Amino acid sequence: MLEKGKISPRQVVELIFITIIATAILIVPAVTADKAGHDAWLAAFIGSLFGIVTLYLAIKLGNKFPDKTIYQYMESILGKYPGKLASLAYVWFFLHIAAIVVREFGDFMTTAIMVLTPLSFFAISIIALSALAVIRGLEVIARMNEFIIILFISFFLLVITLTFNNWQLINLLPFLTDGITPVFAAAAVPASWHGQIIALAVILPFMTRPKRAFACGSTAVICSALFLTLGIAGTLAIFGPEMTASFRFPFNLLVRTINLGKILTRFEVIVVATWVSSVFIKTSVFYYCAAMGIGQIFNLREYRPAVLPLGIIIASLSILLFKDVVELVDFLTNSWPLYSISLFSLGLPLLLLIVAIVREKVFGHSFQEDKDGV
Amino acid sequence: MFKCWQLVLICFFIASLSVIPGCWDHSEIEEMALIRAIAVDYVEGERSPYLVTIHVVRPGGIAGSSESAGGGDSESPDRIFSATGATIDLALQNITFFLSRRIFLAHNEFVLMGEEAARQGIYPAMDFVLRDNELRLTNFLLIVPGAAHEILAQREQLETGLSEEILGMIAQADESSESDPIEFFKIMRSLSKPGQDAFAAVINAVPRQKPAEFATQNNGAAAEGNNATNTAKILYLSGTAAFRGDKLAGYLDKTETRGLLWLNGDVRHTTLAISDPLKPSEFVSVYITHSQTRITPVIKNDNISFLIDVKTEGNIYHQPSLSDLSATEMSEKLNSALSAVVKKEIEGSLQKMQELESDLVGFGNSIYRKDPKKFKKIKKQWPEIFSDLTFQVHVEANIRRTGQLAKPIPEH
Amino acid sequence: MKNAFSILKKLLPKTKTKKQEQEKHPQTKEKQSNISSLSQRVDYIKEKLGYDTNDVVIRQFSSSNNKVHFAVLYIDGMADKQTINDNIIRPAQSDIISNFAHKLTPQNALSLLQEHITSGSEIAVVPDIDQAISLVLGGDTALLIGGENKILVYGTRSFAQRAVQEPETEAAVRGPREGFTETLRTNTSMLRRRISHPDLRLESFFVGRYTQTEVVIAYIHSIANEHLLQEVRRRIASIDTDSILDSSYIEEFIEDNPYSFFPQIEHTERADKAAAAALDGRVVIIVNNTPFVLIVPTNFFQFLQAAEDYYERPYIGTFLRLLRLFLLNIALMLPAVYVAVTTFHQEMLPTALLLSVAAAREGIPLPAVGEALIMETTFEILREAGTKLPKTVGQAISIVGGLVIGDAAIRAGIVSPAMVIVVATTAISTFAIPAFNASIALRLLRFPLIILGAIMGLYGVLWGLVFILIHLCSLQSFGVPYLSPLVHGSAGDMAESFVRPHWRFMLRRPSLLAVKNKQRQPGISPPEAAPAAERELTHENTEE
Repeated sequence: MLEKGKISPRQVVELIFITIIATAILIVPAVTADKAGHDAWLAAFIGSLFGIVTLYLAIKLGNKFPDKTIYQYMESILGKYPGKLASLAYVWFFLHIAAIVVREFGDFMTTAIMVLTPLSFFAISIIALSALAVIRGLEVIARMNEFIIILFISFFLLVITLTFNNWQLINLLPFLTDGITPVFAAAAVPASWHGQIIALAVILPFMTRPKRAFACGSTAVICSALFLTLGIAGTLAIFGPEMTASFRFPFNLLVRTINLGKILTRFEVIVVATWVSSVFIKTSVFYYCAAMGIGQIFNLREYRPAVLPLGIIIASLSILLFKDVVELVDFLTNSWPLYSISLFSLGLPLLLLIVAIVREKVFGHSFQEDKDGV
Repeated sequence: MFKCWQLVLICFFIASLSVIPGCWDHSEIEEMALIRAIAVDYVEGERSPYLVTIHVVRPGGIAGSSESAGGGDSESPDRIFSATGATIDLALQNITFFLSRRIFLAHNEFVLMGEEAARQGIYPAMDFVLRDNELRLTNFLLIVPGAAHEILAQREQLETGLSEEILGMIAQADESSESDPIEFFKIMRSLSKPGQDAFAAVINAVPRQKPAEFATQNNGAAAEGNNATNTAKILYLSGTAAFRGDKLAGYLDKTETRGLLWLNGDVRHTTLAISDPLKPSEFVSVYITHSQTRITPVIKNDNISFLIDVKTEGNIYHQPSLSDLSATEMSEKLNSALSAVVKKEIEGSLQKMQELESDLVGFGNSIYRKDPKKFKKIKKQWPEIFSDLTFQVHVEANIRRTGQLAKPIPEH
Repeated sequence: MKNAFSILKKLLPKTKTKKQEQEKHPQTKEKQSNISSLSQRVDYIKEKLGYDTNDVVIRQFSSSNNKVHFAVLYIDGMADKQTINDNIIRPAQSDIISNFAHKLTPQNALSLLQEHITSGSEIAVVPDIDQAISLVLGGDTALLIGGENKILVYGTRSFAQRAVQEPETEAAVRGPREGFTETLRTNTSMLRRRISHPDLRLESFFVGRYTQTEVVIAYIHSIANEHLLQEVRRRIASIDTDSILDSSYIEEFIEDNPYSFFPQIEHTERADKAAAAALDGRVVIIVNNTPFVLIVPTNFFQFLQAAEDYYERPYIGTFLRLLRLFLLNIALMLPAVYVAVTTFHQEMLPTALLLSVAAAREGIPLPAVGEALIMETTFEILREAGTKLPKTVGQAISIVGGLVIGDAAIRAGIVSPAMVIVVATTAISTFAIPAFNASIALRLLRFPLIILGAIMGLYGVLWGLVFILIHLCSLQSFGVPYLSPLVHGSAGDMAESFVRPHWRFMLRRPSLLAVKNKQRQPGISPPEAAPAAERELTHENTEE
């Protein structure tokens, strides 16, 4: 076993929640408002619920192979080498997400907070921290998250409360002007974010009570759906859908509208700081999943030697993948949902489940024996 | 066995390497020019038409005034600098040639736009405020009939600086509800909504009159000849600039502004004079404490009209007439007199907006919310439709309290 | 020699498992049997302890019938001479006191002396001369009998010791004022007095090759987790070092992560705090010759709790806990955040404050970070200089340093007043944290945070804090996560790190200690109101 630590169901809920919401709140409002207008909040909610589908697949597979990560049971299902290949694809997927997260974070920081600081600086500094956390193991990431989630939720709710006097809820009207089609089109983006819950397939074996995994996962998905919906509703109510769509990072500007009695104002840097710590958790989770994958594909005794090279890969990818922020947002809006959902959040897990069931039911293969053999 | 701490050390080392040349965004607090207000003027026909004036606070000035014991009237901490440019930011860049410090916009409180600049459109200013990472969305936009930079040339009266003075006036605007200074993000919100036009508060510098001059004016004598002796001006925040699209369409005076505020349901407090039901030549003044407005579009085929329901409450504030209004039927009469006054203000405001073809309340938007398909059809002609609309204004006013006095002071 | 020491280490003073030991080390026994005559053994002792060692007293005498010769061995100053004289030498020497003295022969001497002649509340029969010597070095008195290999050892420990005083480091307005002393027995007695239950167990270890320091672990048998106890025993038994002069030596030998800035084991001088810890299911480690006892396992939030929290009303206890948590953050971050905000995020300050800070900074030659580092260092110098001097002089230093230099530095325009306020606030916050060892960690971490704040602004400070958080999250103290009630704990435990519950509602012990008996008290039982009749009675009384 590459990981000796165990995490509790509550920690799993918190980990998934932060992993999804951290960057979703940054990009999703503008994208959904662009496509769905007044109904962006609905699009976010519907899209978020897609996470339950991925979650169901991950847990169904996980239950068939208790104590195994997705990398291990893919080898059992698909055979050794195809399994390893699929595992590598997942490692790439997690690296890709981590790189995108780091890039989003860097682009945000250089847009809103520290304009002159180079992007690479943010990439390297956050990856250095994440590498440290990954080396310390899943338990440490989960424990840190318990702190960070308190900050994140309290600041989120504080922002919502303090902006509430400026909300114009009539901005959410008219409801479903152009029918449901644009809502579904817009829902693809939040859906791709919630598809990232597939990381649970790596974490699941390290959970203390795996039977509660589905309850935990769906709690996390619904919570993040509610928070995302609330955040989008807030930006819509303050700015209206047209302005929200034209902002790069609407939620940050929402924070900047707070001005209560000239005292509760100008604290967006603190809000950003809590957000940065949640981005750190998100990066660490995917970084960890990738490192664990490398460890299990190559049957290493420890995944730790893989951490540093992977960190360098993530940092370089985050800088090299996209030319500028326009390309990044365009990719996330148009290509990413199709790519991530069809392959990694829905396609491959579904394929795995079908193959597993077919092998069990049709060919009478028993994976339990397999497990004993390993 | 791979040692964790070795890896950590390497990571740390890499991280620290990248940190060494750091401090990109670093700037010491005393190296920055704190800008509190920007005035934007438009000079027609020039290659660089934007005349931008910034209002900088000199921190040393403030500290000096508190520490220098001997000096009587201290020097104002305010400084202004101007330059022209093809756009606002280019003009700002041209200002830097006059400055010994870095321009720091995060503490800017308002953007003043001259009439000419506002007629050219406020989108450039909007874009500048929204795109810049230092400027805040809670900045106020104030329109100046005339040149904006003149406002910044005035001296403060009560506060430590001009910006504080204007901020104080903005905070006081709620007392009379004859001006409605709103933040950038709210202006932008109205601008972006279909079927709604934006408005902004108006600030002006008016000649300062001595009390004696007010007296002569009231007696009917002309006060114009005295202008040479009092060049000092004083700031005056009142009225509203109405936009059509992003371009200035015209002004609402202070009563019309209050009518707009009634329509928007934004009247916080105001004192209204109504005529005494017993002695029509005398006044009773009412202090408004609450108000609430509901606008309902009534769409019948192609015929669009609006129902405007205003509910308001107030207290009698002052009654110079000394007539006894304590009877129940008198309060009924007072209520109807008050609602008549409010209704008149609202109708006056509506009429002005229709004249300007500027839908500051968002009547079009309420149609859009109710029937988006219908609004899409009429969207193009909305300004014309708006100017011909009919409104049914219904005001329900209630005077709840009569202040500390139940009856007038008894005459012997 | 090494063998002898290893025996000693495993031996407890009261429980003599001599047979086992002899079987284990037969060669020792052989060596003993060679030295049978009294004079030979006296010579052996003299050789072992040094001929010139002047506090070693060997008094040789004979019984009244002159059949048996004795030698009494004790250390001057550590044993009670009066007792030795009255209870050992005189009864053995003359038959006036005891009827049995004249019956003494080398063969029956041991049993007669032990049972009839000499008196002493603690008598032990020790077969090994080296063991007897080590007991003598602890203040006991050995009686060597001619013609008998076994040695009688009397408990006569009596030496100058500090009286029980109020603990200086953990003063409290309300609550017991007894602090531990340097004497182990006094300390265990204080614990025993607080917990008069048969389940309070005290186990001894002897640690330190030269110092042979007695270390006692105290726990409540029916509460403390067995794995925890085994772990504590294992870690203490595995210490192999020259000397243990303070409990901090033990602390450093048994803590989980030797590289951490943070203290992983709590220590206290208060007897009531140690008793409370034992009752929570923790293990108390008492070390001879130091008033500071250790408490394991420890979580970080214990450092923010003072004993007094539990003696005053719960509301003030809760308020103080939250306040300390706030002060902890101030002490750690304030200068760093000040530097970051004034050099990177000036938009965060309200305009008026920004203007006055900027005005104060006009003409200051140093950048904000330089100012902060200089002032922080100055503060550390003042504190260090102040503590090392006698109290009266120390005050003078703080006045000269704090007031005179501070004021002069501001007037001379070297530092800005704002920075002095920041540094002073930080310093005061540091002192408000009850545990000194925890505040030291914060003081040290402040410097890197200031530098990070100066390089990267609040992002840098956050970076540093997350770094510290990663470290704290990976720390464990005896299997319990360091930040435990907050992370990994149940909701009740979590609340208890911020809130001091009413005693009536503290039903359970901390769950993370995995104690055997979780229940503190059966349930909430509000005291019943006085019966109506009684109330009337008191009412009448007051009327009269």
